[in-house]
Amino acid sequence: MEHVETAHAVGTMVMDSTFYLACGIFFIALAIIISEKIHKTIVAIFGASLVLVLKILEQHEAFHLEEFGVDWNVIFLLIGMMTIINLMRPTGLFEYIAIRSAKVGKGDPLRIMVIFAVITAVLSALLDNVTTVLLLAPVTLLIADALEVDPIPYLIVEALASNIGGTATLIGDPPNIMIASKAKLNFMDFIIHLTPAVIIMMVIFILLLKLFFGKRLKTRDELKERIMKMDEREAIKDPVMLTKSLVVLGVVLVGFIFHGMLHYEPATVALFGAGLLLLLSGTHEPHHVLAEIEWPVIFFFIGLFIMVGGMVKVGAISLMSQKMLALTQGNLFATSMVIMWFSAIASAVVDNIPYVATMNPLVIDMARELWPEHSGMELLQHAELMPIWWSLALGACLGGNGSAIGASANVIVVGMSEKAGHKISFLKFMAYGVPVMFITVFIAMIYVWLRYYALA
Amino acid sequence: MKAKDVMTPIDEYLSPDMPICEAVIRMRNVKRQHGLPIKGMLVKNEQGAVVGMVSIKDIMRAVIPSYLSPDLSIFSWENMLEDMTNKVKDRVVGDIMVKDVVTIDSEVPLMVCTDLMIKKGLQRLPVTDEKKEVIGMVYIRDIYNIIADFLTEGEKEDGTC
Repeated sequence: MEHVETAHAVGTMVMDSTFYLACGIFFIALAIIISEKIHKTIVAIFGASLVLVLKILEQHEAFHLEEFGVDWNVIFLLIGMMTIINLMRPTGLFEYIAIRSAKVGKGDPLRIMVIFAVITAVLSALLDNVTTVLLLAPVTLLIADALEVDPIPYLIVEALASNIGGTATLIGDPPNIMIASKAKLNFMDFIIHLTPAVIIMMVIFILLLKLFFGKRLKTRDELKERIMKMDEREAIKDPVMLTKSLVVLGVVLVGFIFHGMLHYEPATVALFGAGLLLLLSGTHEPHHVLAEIEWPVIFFFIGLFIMVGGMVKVGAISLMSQKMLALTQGNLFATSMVIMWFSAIASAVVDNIPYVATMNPLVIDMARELWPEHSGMELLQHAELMPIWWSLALGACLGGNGSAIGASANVIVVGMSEKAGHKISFLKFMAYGVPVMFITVFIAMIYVWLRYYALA
Repeated sequence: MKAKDVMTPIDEYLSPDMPICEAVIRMRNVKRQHGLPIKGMLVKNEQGAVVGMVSIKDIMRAVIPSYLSPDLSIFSWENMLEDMTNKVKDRVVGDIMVKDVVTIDSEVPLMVCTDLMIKKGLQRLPVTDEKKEVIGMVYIRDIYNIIADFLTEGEKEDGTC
């Protein structure tokens, strides 16, 4: 990796005006984002433009340097995956899967809840969480109406399952995409290190659902018939495009599995998939597909990368990493536990994207402090640093369950439920989310401790 | 010709706290001059101000669950329409009315009325006087009838023109 001189070591660091400017811009922007007074994308773009206008970063640094600038690997991975999903969505595959699952559950409310939790988790691991809940929530509301049961527990369970499932893979959740890009981790690294933990969490999550909802969810047999009479095959509107989409999705997944070995970045794999599916779709109007990409999310990332880049350049991030090391006195197990729990709590309160954007350079800086003799991959994937990356990923992803605004999937579910006349209050969400967050982070803690410290 | 020349005076209104079923009965009982029930009525609050409009489309819209889309309605069950209608029975006019009603001044030419109705997909336009008070309604059918009269001026006995 390129190594540009990062500000100055602490002893010699001069806290000049750019230091305060960079920090001021970032933390004021963060406060405005939390207050929701101005749309977060606008805040991020304006904040980033200030970083450039005030010459905290040169434009060249913001656009072209790996250390300070926009992480194009993240941007193009998101764009590629969003394009693929936008092309797949109209085929009806997701409605098919949902209706099929409800029928596999024989119309039984508890079984449907469990099956939906599992498919949400699996889909969220392979696609993004927002898309998964956007596609499944309407079907869930329909099925709940058909069974005459309260849809709220189903919707909350789906949001929680999507955040747990998204933790499992590199492409499952934005924090993982960002961490993978910074730490140069590949898809299989995540499968080997995080997927087992997520499987354990899902098993326990499902046991809890059974325990908690086992006696509460009831329906009548004639209502179950409504589900059994639905013909999921009617959902498939374009079988030819569906076949093409599945082939491309298969190619992309195989690409992800082997990208590390073949020395491709994940973004290359996603862009190849997007390009291939656009070509195969035979569309003459790509602007429809491209317009559906969530540009506000993309520009939110771009803005944040530049604002955080400014803080890296002025040395604010290294200052924070030294504070962190001082706090844990260089004990790496303690550091990883602090990072995991702090990430979880922080992600429940703040958007986890700016959080991880800040933590990534902080972790790298910490590694530089600890192992000054190493650089490049040896530094980024130092054996003792790996549990810290995993702790960050686990904390930031699972923390999203802690509140109704902790993750985008939660916000979507709450919004859709309210529109359908079932208001989910902030506290109601937390009544489910907080225990699940604590239980899953606790499992993550035990997992990291056992796998990387006690049994290592 | 102007709006005031084709408008129908209104003397019956709905109120925001009226249950939907009562609004339906009211609408059924108010007949247009062609003898069919009216398809939309204005809503007036206690202070006598017009606060919205309810049409048969708004009542139909209220029955559709927010999550439904053409992709999903194929999975509806046999009596879903009945179930969903029962769910809205206790809702009131204020919940389902259109709040930002497009109105026109009585002096507005019919060309403007026609343009507004087609471009904004409106079936009826409340007409206001100089004090901004609603005095009548221009219905799409009435404007169409005027256009149809112009078009058929040379109409012959055998139905050609």
